[in-house]
Amino acid sequence: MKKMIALLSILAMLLTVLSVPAMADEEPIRIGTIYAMSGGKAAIGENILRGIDFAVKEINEKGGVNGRMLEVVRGDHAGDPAQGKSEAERLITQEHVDVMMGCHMSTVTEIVAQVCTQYGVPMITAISTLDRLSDPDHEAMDYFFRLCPLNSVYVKDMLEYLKDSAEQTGEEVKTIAIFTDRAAIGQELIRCVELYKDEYGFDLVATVDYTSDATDLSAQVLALKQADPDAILCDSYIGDATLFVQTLKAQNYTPKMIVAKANGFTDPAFIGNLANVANGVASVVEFNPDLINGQEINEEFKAEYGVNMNGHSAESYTVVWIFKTAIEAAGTTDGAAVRDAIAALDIQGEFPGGRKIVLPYDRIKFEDYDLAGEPHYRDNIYSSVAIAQVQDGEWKTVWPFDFTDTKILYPAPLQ
Amino acid sequence: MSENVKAVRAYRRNVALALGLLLLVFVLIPVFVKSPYILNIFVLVFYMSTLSMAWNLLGGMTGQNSLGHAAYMGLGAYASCLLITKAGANPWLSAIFGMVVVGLVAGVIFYPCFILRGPYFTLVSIAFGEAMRQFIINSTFFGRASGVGLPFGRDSWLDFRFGSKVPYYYVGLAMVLLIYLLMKKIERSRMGYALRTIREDEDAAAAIGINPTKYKIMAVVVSAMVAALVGFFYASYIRYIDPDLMVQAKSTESVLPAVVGGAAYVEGPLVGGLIMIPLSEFLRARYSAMLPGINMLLYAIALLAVIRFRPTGILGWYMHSKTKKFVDEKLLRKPPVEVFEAVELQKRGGKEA
Repeated sequence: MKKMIALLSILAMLLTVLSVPAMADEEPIRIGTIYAMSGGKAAIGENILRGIDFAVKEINEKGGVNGRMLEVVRGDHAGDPAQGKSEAERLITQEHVDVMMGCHMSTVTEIVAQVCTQYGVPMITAISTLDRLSDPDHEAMDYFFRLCPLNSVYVKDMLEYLKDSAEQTGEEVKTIAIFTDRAAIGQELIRCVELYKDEYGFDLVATVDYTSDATDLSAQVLALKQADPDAILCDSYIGDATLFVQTLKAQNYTPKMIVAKANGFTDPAFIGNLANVANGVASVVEFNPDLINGQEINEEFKAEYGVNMNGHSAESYTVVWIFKTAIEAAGTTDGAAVRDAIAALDIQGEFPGGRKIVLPYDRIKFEDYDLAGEPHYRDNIYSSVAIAQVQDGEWKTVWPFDFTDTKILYPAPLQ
Repeated sequence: MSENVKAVRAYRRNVALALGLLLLVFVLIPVFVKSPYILNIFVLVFYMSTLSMAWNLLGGMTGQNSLGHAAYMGLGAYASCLLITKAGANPWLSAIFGMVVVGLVAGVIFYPCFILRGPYFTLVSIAFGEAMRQFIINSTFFGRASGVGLPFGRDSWLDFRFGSKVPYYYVGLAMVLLIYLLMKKIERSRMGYALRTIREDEDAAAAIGINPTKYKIMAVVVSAMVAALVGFFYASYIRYIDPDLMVQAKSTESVLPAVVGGAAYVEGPLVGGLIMIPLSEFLRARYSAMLPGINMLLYAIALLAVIRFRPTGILGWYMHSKTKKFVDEKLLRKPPVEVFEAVELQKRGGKEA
């Protein structure tokens, strides 16, 4: 009897060992994600993860990648670089993820990308916009790719919009002014405008700043009124953004164009606070539900989660599709092979077996290039943002012109 | 030689053997544990316990509850990182530079503050931490909100830079040991007695000729310098620092190991760190993906349970427990107190009885 049991158990063990290689093909492909899921930044993480889950579900329903299902392994960096590093190591060495996505704070992304490069795990960031992640100091981080536009591309697109707007408004923008926070976001806007204004031939007539959470902005608005630029570029947090537009109204000053670099201006509370007074304010967006390529996916997404898809969800959704396409091209999940496949990828218009690119551009290709005289590495050089404008209390995409049917509301009515 | 002397010697040998074995285990861990993730947790334990020992010198031994230790650590990290990146200095020298800078800053700022007692000192320490953080966020030289990164590159002892965890593990272990020995030395020194007297009653201490301000400043400076050393270690390990290193929550993190382990004991932060940090990592790895934030909730419950049921910390409980009695009598063969007294008397008498 004992011998029987021993024999049987040996047989069972043998079977397990033998069945492992057979099962390996069926094993899911694991995507590691590192975002803040707890702490002050958790709400942002939630939108990102929805975009990822949505793509994974879609791909798995269509039969997965090379016959294998996708599986998401979530890590939580809680906004802390040290925790980000620790989570990256856990996901790579304990959970054996094949590819990595993250993070939503560029500084944490930088650390996680270093860890991924060290272990040879390909990583794509959907939303980290800090310019320096792809600068010459990070040339050696060759497992790291960036889908989203860089901070300076955001601003460049704002200027591009001002230039293109003449086509619809019939008036050319010549003078611009900056209205922004003294904090990091404002400094970044000023730096980038300085970088590109000459290229577009704009005359910067005033730079007006204030300290976050201002209680009074009348002096600043007065300064803008005196400079009377053709367009105002701004970046503020929600409280200051609201006060700014209210003060414009109170001082009876209606600039013809106001273009914001998202943040407070695209906060859901912005239109709620101002109602009709917000009409005419424009802002950068990475995605908007009325984008021609985004309408269909937004309906499905809304049916699933009850909210509109936002920029973060749309970009994260796209990264999952990039991984799928690259792994299929590589025919393996080997880190170096997938890395090479991502580098060689050229998505034009739509993903093989998937949708059209849902973002406001129609090509994805990671390349080394020059940006304002400095080399950059492995960024998606075709990425750009869209400009949306508040019209009838809703954000409507107005630029790039190919991606929308809505016309620019000009001059901004602010009522 | 009397039986008594033999018993005491045997006991001391057993204690040394036990500690030696413990140390050997820690030295051998990287030989057997190959997972970088597990080694990472040990490195975390090492530097957080060291930071907590720094806090404990002030909070546990002197009774001055500081909630600004993250600022000392952050400032130390910044001072050494900036010297490395801007002046190209050697990291090891920069560590010393960072310690000196932070020691000076802490001494100069807290000298006038020691008129304050009790909760007011705690409030100043909070304000100090936040002021330092705001200063760095608004200073271009310090890199503002975007922080400072240390260069990556080839492994090098000179640059204290490695791809592998193992060197960090050993340096971290050495740091914990050195700081532990330093704290033990302070505890047994004149300074240690003075600090404990101040903790119990500052006026009484002054009355018997202890200058409370002098000793408190010494404690703050030493504590801040150790925190700065941890800051240097952190920066070299993570290779990136930002002003969020100094947020209030980080200061609280430096208090927890000491409180959980037992703030009255020099060993408290070590015991607390060895328990709380792996616990926190385990909870995050196991639960955070299922229900975000649940790991923090469970951690808080564990913390509350310790504070509610073992207010003197784990060591406070152990010192009066049956477990200690068992360990002492059966494993280490500790002789009864009378034997120690007899041996001591004999030594003073100068000759055998």
